[in-house]
Amino acid sequence: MTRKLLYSLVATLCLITGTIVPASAASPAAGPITAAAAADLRQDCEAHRNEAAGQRGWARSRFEQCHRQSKYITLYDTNTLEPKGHFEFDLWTLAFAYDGTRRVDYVISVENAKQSQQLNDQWSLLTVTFTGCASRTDLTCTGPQEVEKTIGDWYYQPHIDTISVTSPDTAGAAPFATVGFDASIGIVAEYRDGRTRPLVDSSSQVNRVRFDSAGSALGNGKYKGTVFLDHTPTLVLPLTGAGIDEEARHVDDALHHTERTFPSSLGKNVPGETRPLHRLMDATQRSSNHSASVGICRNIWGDGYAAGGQECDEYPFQSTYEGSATSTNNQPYTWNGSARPINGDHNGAGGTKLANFYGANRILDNDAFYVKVSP
Amino acid sequence: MCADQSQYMYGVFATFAYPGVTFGGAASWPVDFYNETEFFTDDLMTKSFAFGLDVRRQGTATTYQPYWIDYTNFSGYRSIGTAAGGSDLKVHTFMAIPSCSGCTTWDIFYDYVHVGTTGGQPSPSSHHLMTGWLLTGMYGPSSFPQTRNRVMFLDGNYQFVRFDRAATSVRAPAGDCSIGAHPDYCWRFDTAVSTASGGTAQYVTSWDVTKPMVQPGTFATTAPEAGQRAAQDADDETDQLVERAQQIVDQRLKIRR
Repeated sequence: MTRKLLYSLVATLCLITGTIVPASAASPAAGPITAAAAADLRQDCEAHRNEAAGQRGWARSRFEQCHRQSKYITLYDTNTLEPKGHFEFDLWTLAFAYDGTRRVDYVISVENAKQSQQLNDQWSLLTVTFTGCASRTDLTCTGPQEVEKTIGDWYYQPHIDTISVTSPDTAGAAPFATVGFDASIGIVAEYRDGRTRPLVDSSSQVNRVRFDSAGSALGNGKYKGTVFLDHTPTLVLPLTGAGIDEEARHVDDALHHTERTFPSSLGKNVPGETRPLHRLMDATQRSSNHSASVGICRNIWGDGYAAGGQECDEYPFQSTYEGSATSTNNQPYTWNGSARPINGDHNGAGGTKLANFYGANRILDNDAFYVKVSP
Repeated sequence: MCADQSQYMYGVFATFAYPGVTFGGAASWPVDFYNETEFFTDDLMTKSFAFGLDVRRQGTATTYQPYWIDYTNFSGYRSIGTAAGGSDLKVHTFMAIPSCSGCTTWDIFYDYVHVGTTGGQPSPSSHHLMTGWLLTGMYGPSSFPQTRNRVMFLDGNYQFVRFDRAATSVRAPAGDCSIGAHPDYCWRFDTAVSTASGGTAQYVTSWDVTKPMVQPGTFATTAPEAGQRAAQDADDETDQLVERAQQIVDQRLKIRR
């Protein structure tokens, strides 16, 4: 009822000023983004409103991120500093990155825009800016990077055309041809009566992107792709039913029951759950980690630890900087981790699951990730 | 092997590979070879719990059954999982960890899986532990390759640590293998305590036992090798302790399955 009354009031104002009238919903997103994907992300974003309202927004995955900010902007007289009126609107950005393509798309909208009654619509201007592309030779931005409209026009047409950012496959830094990109979505709120101070916020929303062409080094993943760096993915290991029971139990013990793990050390605090692990891609260092862990297995279970198809498993994984050698300067008995013999099939399946996880999330060297054991 | 020390023990870890046991013939009644680790919860060594492997021969069938048992509460023999028809040759791990800080109950783990909890014990800690083989029913015509019981205890810092060699004693009784002796009562164990250096002390990494198949008159005149028949160099006090442990074991055997 309240909303209807407000619209009635606005409609009345329309007759006077020719501005704000309720408008229909936005059209589906253009480009490779499906309307269903956008709607789904948008719905989830609403459910994470607090995170989404921050400058960095909320990243649902390495490939989906959203920003949703409800703005209430008061504009002040240049001379007297008295408030002259305000703008209200929701600034939405839905961002989609792609596995298999060095591309990211942004769907930006200004929704539910309205201004206070005392402001004249033709002078009430809101500009949305998209910055980060200037002077870049390693990427290309297409689509409008600055859109200026009156508040009324924003109400009628809340969406701007999709902005796409692409990067050539071979551009970027070795060894994985990585290109970093920080997109800043900003606003300029103006009342152009010549006597009102504009409000400028050039980075109201910041979106961090990385393009890569890691190729086969990534593991079980696509040759190239694009990710949002604000999402730290989580590797989930089911305790049962996934063919990795002994692996998952080992990780669970390392995280939650360190007294059951070796090396046995005072105050052991194993990372992965509340502090992330970081992927290690250097083959020599990974090998050093595993050798150090095998030394623990031999020390505790004896040289015959591998009999009957057992393998020395380690957590944090050998493919992380938190491994037994790299995190201890090769002093594995001080390690915040655990090594133990487990069923070789479970260990192998766990390794495949980890490689798939690295690939699916395009986790490169030193990228962070969490580990969770699910019941 | 027995460990008797002034330092408090709050838990125990034991691991060993299941050996392939050879029995010289069929068994008319159940024959059990236990590789057991027993954790005493009073100083008189009358209260305890234990875990290990039971290799049972009945008829011509042999089964391998891990188990645990709470002697203090006479709650009986608890099978862990189902019996296997042979050794999987893997190292298996047993642990007893206090159910909580200061608890007088212990959680029992087999290959890191919680398999049970002891009843209340008289003390939350221990000074005495025993590990090794207990054989019933078929002493002579049986053998097994070397097993290495790698045993540690949980100290007050909740760290598993090895025993000081000086806190341990060993016993390995031999049968009568003199010429003309009955083959059923001729046996011997080849034993050793493996150690690792740690500062000025030697720490026990494993209690190693082999049971060869022997016949009367084939070895009786052979003196045991140094370090293999370690009971012979035990002092009087240790002998008494070990004898007492043996008595306890003999009594306990009566209440196993």
